Amino acid sequence: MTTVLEARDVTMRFGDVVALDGLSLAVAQGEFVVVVGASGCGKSTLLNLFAGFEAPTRGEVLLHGARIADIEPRCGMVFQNYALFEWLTVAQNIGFGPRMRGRADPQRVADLLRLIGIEDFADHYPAQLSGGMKQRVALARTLANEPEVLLCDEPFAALDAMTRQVLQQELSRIVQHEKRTCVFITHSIDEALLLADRIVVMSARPGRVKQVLDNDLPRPRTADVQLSEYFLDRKRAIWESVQEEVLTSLVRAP
Amino acid sequence: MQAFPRTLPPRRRLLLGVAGVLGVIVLWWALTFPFFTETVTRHERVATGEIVTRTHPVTGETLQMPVFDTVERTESRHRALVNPPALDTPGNTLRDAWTLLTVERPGRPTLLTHMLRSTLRILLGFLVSASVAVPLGIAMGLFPTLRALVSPIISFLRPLPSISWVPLAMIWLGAGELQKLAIVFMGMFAAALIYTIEATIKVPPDLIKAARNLGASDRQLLWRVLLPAALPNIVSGLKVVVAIGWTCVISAEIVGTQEGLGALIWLSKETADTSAVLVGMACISGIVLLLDLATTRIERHLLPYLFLRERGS
Repeated sequence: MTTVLEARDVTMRFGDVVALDGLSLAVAQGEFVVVVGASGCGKSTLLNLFAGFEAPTRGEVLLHGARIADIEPRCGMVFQNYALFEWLTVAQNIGFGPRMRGRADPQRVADLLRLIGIEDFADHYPAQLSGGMKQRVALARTLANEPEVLLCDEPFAALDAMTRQVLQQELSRIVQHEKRTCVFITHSIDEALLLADRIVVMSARPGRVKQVLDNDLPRPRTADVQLSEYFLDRKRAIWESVQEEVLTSLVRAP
Repeated sequence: MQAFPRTLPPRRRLLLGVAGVLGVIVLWWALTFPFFTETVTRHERVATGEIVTRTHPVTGETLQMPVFDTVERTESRHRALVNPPALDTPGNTLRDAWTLLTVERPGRPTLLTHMLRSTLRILLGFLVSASVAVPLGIAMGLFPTLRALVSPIISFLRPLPSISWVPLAMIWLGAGELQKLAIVFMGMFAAALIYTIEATIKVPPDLIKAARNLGASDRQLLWRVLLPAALPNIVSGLKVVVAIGWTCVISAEIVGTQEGLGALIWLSKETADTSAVLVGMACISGIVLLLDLATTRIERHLLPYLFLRERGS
């Protein structure tokens, strides 16, 4: 397996706050890695480093072995609050990236609209869509740019439980269909177990990799899988690992 | 029934609105209707028609002098609670408005000229101040260094009422159109600038991150994301600025002009022509409302996505 994205002994400091401390993580081609951790553990910082929004205080962040020095469009980000362009229609939002890079491709936009099941809403504006629909559009917009890696920053956290469930399954399907590499951040253990090939548990601040678990639950991870003894065992194990960190971060709040 | 209902059915809202306006007119009418008859007693000297001959005590001339008598006269006059020049009846005011609208006298142009002149002054002032304030405001929103440099000056300018610019404008620019433009400009500029800065700062950082992440260059980020994202707030700020323009133009028209609603109001004050003052004020409100309707129309056309409802799920 080839490594696509790698953080090598990365430390990130904001003033006195150490957000990440000597974190190392390698993501393989086509792998779905879910990073779980208590709030404030530096999960989002890690994604910002992968996307090139920020540079690490120490250590290296590499894409295909080359250092990420600037904002990296090959690592496409999906935001928790969708970050859609309100003045553009759904189709225009999806086509934004390729258009900016001088590679407008209406056919790809149409394909993506179909892939995420919103072809009837191509000419709608984001304000006309529900949260779940907006996140579908945001995902399609990122995919349209053909990123090497899909970075998801708690994309379903603002959605209601049922919509979230549907979108988790859709994301799973789409990522497999498009054979994407994905780094996904969440604080939901269920979400992690549902989506991940590998789960990375982060420690409370300063963020380090506390534990890495391979998640070999069979796909598709239907309701039956989610209710299986094996799933629950896994959930319990991760929770015990995370719990300690949540408690630590609570004591040290904010 | 809710204790504090938030909204009313539109029909009811309209009816209540009409009732409110009618109420004011009825009150006006009641205040100015001549209910009372007032008896005024006056003492008047009246020549009796008789002529007497007298000798002047010093010169010794012989003078023929008429004889006067003091007569008591009673007159009955109709009076209202409030009388002209404080306030005339609604009917008379309406008639005066019609006269103002149709009759042109030397040094006293018609109402239409007044309205047109003030509106033109505002629009010109608006165009000039917006075309400076919007680019500068966007730049200030984007660059904290520039913001830090210019903000104190703006904080100094902002509290100044437009009328306080009148003396300086006159000393420097005389009493012509340039002086009026300058006052309107100064009154609108600070507000337009502040609204634009805020609109630019308020663009969600995630939008900028998303655009960058999708591969937008600096130039594309500015034109394709920052500007369209800030535009709705800039436009609604500028709508307020146009309304501010009216306070400015009225200040500007205190002196050196006989045209404009400000001039009409100020000059009518001199002759205690309350009706003309009221008509001038009503025209200002009317034009502001019309301009607001027009700008909302333009807004709907330019920014259709702001006027949509959530659909689908």
